[in-house]
Amino acid sequence: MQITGLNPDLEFARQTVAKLSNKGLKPEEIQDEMVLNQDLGIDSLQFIRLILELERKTARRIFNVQIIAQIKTFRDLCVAISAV
Amino acid sequence: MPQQFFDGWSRTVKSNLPFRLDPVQEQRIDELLFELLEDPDCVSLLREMDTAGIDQAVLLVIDFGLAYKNIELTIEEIHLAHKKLLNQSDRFLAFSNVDPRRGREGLDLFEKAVREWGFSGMKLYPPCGYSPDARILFPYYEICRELHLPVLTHIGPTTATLPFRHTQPQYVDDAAFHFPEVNFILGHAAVTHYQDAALLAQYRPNVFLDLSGFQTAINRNEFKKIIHWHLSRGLGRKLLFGTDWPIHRFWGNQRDWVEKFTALEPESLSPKEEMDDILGNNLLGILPRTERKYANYGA
Repeated sequence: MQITGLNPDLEFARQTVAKLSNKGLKPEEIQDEMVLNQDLGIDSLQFIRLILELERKTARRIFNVQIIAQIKTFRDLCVAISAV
Repeated sequence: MPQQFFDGWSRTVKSNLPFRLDPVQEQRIDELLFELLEDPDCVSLLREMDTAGIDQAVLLVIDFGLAYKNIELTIEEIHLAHKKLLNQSDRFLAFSNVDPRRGREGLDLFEKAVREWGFSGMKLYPPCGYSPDARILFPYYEICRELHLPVLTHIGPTTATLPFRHTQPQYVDDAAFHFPEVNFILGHAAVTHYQDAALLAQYRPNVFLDLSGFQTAINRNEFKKIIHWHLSRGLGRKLLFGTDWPIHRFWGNQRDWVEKFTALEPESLSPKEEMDDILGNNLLGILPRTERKYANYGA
């Protein structure tokens, strides 16, 4: 199941995760329950890049330390983006 | 944390990122890093300790007063802030640190902290400009010997605005040799300079290795190899679990770190008993045996 739907911010998140992942996945192959680190190979440095690119694209401050620490899966990331 | 320390840390973090930052993003990184440090009353820490099943944590004073200018609080005020936390919760222990170049006044403050205020160990921060084997520290070690207090010294790189000189394990050896009754904990050395540190811990019965900073080794997929290095040398009784709060909050919470560490057990890297030792028993074995008398619970 994919929760990004037609939300352009979430679609951008999917595209960016696919770009930064070292697993060679296409955006449509990213599943909501995939763990960013283990399943998608987004390491801590790439994760910083991910949140910076998401905030720049959306022109919003989405993340803080508490939220970041709770993001494990792609679904968690989408929930954080949608909550703002 | 002094502004100069933060600036150097931030510069290092940003220079290690594998992509270029624009000025707005640089500012955003600073904001997020600053947020990491915002927990003056340790409320978030206690909450995370509850979730992670951590009974107690050691709080560390660091005296930056001679290394940097314009420090907001005096070293005595910093100690008193930690004493307040000790009085508020029996979940905390604290180690005192006074720059040894403060002379008699500094030694008196350290003595008051460990004899009267309930501090249960000594912290050293050699990047501030002194070596763990400096003779001016020996009066401090005499007190540690008398009161059975461990000495925890920082090992390895730190903020870019302090020198890394004297942060290698070798600088602890002379002190450990002259004070065999004092237990020396090499902070981060289970993962930083870990081969030299393991050698020292193997041959000095009073040298222990702290694991905090292992989060970086996990991120690099190096941690299992490092743990195996130590355990294959019989150092299971010398390793001490630590998380270096709040530095690694960005990548996970206390529960994450406990879970990632204990996940090693099913992989037969460490039997249950050894795991329990590393998670707490080894440290309890080198803390002073006397009960705290200063705590004012519920105050």
